[in-house]
Amino acid sequence: MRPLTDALERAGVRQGMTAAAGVALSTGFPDLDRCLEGGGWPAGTLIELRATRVGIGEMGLLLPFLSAVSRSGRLLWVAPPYKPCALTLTARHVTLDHLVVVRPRTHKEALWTVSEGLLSPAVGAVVTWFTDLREREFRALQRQAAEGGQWGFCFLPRDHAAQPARLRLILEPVPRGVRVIFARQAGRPAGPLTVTI
Amino acid sequence: MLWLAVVLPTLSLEVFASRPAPFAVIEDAVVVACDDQARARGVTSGLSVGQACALCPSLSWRGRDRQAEAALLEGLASLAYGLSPHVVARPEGVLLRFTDQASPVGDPQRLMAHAEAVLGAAQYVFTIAVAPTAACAWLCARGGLRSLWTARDPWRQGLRSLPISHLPLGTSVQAACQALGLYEIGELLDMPRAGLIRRFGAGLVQVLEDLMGERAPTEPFWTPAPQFRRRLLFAFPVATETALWFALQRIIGEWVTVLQARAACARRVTIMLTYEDRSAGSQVLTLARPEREAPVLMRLVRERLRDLRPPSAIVAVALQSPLERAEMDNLPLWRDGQWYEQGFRGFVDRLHARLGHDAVRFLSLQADHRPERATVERPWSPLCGAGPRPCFMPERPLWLLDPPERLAVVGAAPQCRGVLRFLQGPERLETGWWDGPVVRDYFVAINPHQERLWVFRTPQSEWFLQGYFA
Repeated sequence: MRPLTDALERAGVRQGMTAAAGVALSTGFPDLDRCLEGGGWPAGTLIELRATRVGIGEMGLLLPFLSAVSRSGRLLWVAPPYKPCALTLTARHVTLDHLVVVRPRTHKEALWTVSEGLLSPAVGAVVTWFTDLREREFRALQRQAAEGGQWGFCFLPRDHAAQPARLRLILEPVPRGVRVIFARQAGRPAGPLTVTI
Repeated sequence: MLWLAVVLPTLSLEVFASRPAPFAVIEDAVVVACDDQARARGVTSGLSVGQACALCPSLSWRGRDRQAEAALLEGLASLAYGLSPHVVARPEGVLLRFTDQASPVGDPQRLMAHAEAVLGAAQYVFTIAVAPTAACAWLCARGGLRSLWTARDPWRQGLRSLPISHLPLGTSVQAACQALGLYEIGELLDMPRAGLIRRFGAGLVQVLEDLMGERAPTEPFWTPAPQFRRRLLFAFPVATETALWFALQRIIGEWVTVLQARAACARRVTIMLTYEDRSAGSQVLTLARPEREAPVLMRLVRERLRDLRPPSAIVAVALQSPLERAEMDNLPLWRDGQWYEQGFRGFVDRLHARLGHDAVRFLSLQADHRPERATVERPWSPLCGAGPRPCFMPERPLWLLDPPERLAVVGAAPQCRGVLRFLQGPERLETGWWDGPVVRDYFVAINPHQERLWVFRTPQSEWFLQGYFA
């Protein structure tokens, strides 16, 4: 039993519901899929999201994807800004049993939780909110995301220093939707896009 | 019948972890045990503290801790319980009984080697002997003989040449034997028993009968406690994590052996630390999945203690855990989902160990119209589900403010980083007459920053922000 469990515990072993690096999963918005490399949210990388404010529809952009992941995998939300509403999540078909909300007390604990989540094959997608993140810390998390091969989303304040992410999106509010600016996308430049939510 | 005796000759020293050398244990101002360095300087048991210090000026000492010794023996007995179901606990060690035919590890040589390996791994300092009677095995182990006698060996002959001073006799009896010119056990055995009783009392003959296996053993067998509890004292307080971890590793190693011997699992662990300033702290770890694997338990305990900031140096560490019946599936290979579930529980355990129980939350729905009560953030428990799925799904925001934030009102119009424009509403919510009644009119509003907000008005025309549509 031991060698098998060891091998499965080790990241990088493909286990059906998790995807190897280089795989992308649809965002749920066909227009957005077309602009993203691989046709969806790329796995095995930490995606940097910059929203001008809370409440402009930034989570609306992720919820279709997250509900798809939560059907078979687990979601880990680290330090969300407010209390998530269970009713909304259920209405958007997110499996509540599969969502873990972690409220770390310190920045160090938050970093540890995110890296554990990115590495663990038991977690399908990690969404994290940081108010401040150093470049060194981001690189470490990026490495762990690549090793774990899962999905990672990192919300940062709009005016925070740029991180060395492979994919950085800036989200701006527009009436009835979100304007997505592809601030950085490796190998595939794309113009701004308005997504109706 | 075969008996295996394990004696801890340096028991009173062993209870002090990380002791400096030279070191001695004293009781009533008399040395009862000392380490090799002290012995090399001439310190022996029986000396007064003053004499010992005169011989060895750098000697450090501690008072004898009987309680810790009993705890250590309890640990030894539970370890021995993994080798044989028949264990006799004595104040200096344990006796294990094996039947001639059935021993799980085979013949006596292998049995003894296995026992030595198990005890050595648990870092005990011990002497061991195997003999057909309990008293004989005990005598040989106490003498440090490491003998291996089965019923087929001429063990009675071997016993004859041992000195009488090894026998558990009073000093007056020993002195009387010496006065008679008796030095070896064989010489005593040759004496007529009736004469021995008249001269020395019945005690000596009983000892001889025990030794030769002529009297049935009367000591009761040890029964295992329903929980594992082990405490280690530091002779000198430790402040570093390394020293603490060294002691804990030893305890955890023993704990895992006990868990495996009893086919039990751990679900709840308490680690208690006693500090130099007499204060005590405890860390409770509840596992989402019962566990008995050494690497997993070590990692969990280590995660829990990583951020520990002790107020002062640590003088003692204890680990306590009830032994639970193992109900884990060892072969969930064909049920992939279940294996996955266990992997996830292990992940939750790691989060709990590092962040504490309260930091890890799960969401559940409550049948209540008040938004702040409809969503409950609760800690992990294996029994709770997410709650019933409601049949009516009104539009609700993703982020809730709990408690709601009061909004400034300028000329009867609520403000939230600008003037609000209402998109939907009002939606009247009037409920909770049984415990905190609320009457609220909810609106979906948008401010100049394009934030979609969920605000409500009370009958007193106060405005509050309840959530964000993200």
